[in-house]
Amino acid sequence: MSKSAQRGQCKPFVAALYERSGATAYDLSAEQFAAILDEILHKYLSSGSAEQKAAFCSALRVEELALARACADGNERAWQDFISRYRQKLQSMALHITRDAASARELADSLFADLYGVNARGSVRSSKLVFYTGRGSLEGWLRTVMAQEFINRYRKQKRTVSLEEQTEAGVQFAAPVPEGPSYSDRRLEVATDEALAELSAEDRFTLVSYYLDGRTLAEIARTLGLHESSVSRRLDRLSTGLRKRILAGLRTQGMSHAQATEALESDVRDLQLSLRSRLTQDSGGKTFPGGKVPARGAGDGTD
Amino acid sequence: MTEVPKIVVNRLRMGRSQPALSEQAKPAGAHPDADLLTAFAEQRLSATERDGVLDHLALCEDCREVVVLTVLPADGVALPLATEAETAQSMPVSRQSQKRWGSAFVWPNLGWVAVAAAVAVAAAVLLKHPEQRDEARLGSATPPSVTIAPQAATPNPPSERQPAGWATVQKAQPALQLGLSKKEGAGISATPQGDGGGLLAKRRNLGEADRPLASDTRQAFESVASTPQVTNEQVAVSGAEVSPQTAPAGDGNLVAKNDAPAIEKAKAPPQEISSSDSEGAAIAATATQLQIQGRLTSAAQAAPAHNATWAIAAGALQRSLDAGQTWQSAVHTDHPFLCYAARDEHVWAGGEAGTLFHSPDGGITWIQMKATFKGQALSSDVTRIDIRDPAAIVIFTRTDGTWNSRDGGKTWEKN
Repeated sequence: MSKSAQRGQCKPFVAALYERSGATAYDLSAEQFAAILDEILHKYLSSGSAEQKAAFCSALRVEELALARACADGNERAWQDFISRYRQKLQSMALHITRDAASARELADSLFADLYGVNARGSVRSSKLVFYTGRGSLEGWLRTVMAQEFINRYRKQKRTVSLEEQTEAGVQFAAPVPEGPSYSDRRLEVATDEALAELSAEDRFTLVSYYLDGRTLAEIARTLGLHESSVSRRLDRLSTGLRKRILAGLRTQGMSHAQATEALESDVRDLQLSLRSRLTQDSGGKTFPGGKVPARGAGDGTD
Repeated sequence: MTEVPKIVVNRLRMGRSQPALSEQAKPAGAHPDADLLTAFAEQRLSATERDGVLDHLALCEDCREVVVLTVLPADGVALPLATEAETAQSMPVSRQSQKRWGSAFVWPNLGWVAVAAAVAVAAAVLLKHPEQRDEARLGSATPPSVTIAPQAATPNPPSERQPAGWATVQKAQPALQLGLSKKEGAGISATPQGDGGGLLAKRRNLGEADRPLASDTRQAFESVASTPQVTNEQVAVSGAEVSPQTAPAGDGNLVAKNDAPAIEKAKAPPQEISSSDSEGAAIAATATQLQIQGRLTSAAQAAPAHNATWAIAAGALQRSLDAGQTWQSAVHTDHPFLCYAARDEHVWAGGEAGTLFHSPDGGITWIQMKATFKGQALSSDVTRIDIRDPAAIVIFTRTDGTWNSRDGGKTWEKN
């Protein structure tokens, strides 16, 4: 479908959204605004019906979208609004993410420069705000972008840490242990993979967050928009269900019930490790649970 | 909580859990953009999009971390920049609480409920123990009072009704709270303020507007009630009872001359319950504040405690009662906090050097816990806390293993 045709579909609701967005205050014309909506529709809903597109656009945060895009265009008034609304919040976000005042300042300043679109050559202004599409709040988007930047830096830092620093820093920087142990019975792996593949994406996310990342129930609940008790119950259900499903899978592969149970249980008995200690061992490089190290990011306040 | 078989964790770690890639699922290398992650964190994605993002998140540790950083401490709400010290010193806790709950309790019904509850409790006490009213009036020149923060009951801004010596019962207490005030005539300040104009205002109005009508009453009042025990409560009651809507002026004389009949008068005509009883009840509440304090506290604070949002900033445990608009330092400690866990009313916070605190009431009171096992005290950094149920607590430490308690922290076992 041509761009002009798409724009034609948007017409009935674009005017209302344009009005709602307050884009006129930032000298953003209705055509520019419609073009922005087209671009967003093309990105997320290229094949939807006109009704779907209208509903989609209505759910956008158009006021914040107009502000962001006007900033990206270099509108002074938009920048003033943006700074008054978000500068302080950016610093707060950075502090929350880095937990260190100096790093927070650095991170916030860096992001601010990206948002402003400063580049080395100084000729073309390329603001990061041009990527904001209004799917979520602008504040949330800023936080996400900042978190991404922080993770990228952390990863870079981790890659460039010297051997001496690794030693001084202790187990957190130790070389990763080789991937999981090899199991004598391949059938156990197959049954487990099948059982996991049957889970919903949300269930897998819950499992991974809790058992691999060491997230708290509260963190997982907040991420999924649930109550903590719901996450707790879900983990219980998953644990029980997976065990049953794996046992069933082993039996379909020719094991008797006793053999299947033994295969699953011996897997635990042999190493005499709790799941969590095993996970911390994997992330920390320690072998036995006496000196457990929490998984990175475990707990709310873990550095 | 039941643990999953170890192989499940290993297979998850090896990324084998991914089913055959659906059309929505992106390859592991293509991360969802910031817009999608933000919309996911804010629960604004369609089911299909959400599943696609979750598929990716199950495989991508980096994006999981981004999402967690995005949603914490509360959706789209930034932490305050203020450090622990700034927060603690910026204003008295009680005033902070008032500010918070001034906005949180704008719902007028809550004010009516608070008034109704106070009147019902106090009226019941008055009917059962009328003698306590006399004790309250005549006993002490500085009676303790039950103070209900004005904002909790009325959307009007704080006024002079807030006594200067308003004492705080608990740190970080919500505004709808009970305080032990030493202010003179505090029985009046105990009066619930949520009845539209507020009884204090009513009292003032009556005291002024009814001046001609009540002149006889006032004289009689002054002549008879010239003893030093006469307090503001008596003025309040007499003012109410000389009101033309409730009782003839003569009743005021009776009130002024003798407290006991005044009580009888106040409770005798059922149709007068709205004014006379409520004020009498307020006075009765003065005498029995200790009895009702617990009940009112629980009634007023149960909801706030559940709605609290917690965060750790710069090693300080912070609590927000207004969805992250304002934050207050919840509890002070010598060592920085590293983690917390909250479940219903129970909040646990752990930090460096074995720091461990527990609040059983949503952060109103805090108990420093001393976890010991076989004579050895917990001294390692507490990095994570899980509340399995109110009694079953699991603590993860940096170097000292996992500590379990099955009795709410009284005894501990180390794994």
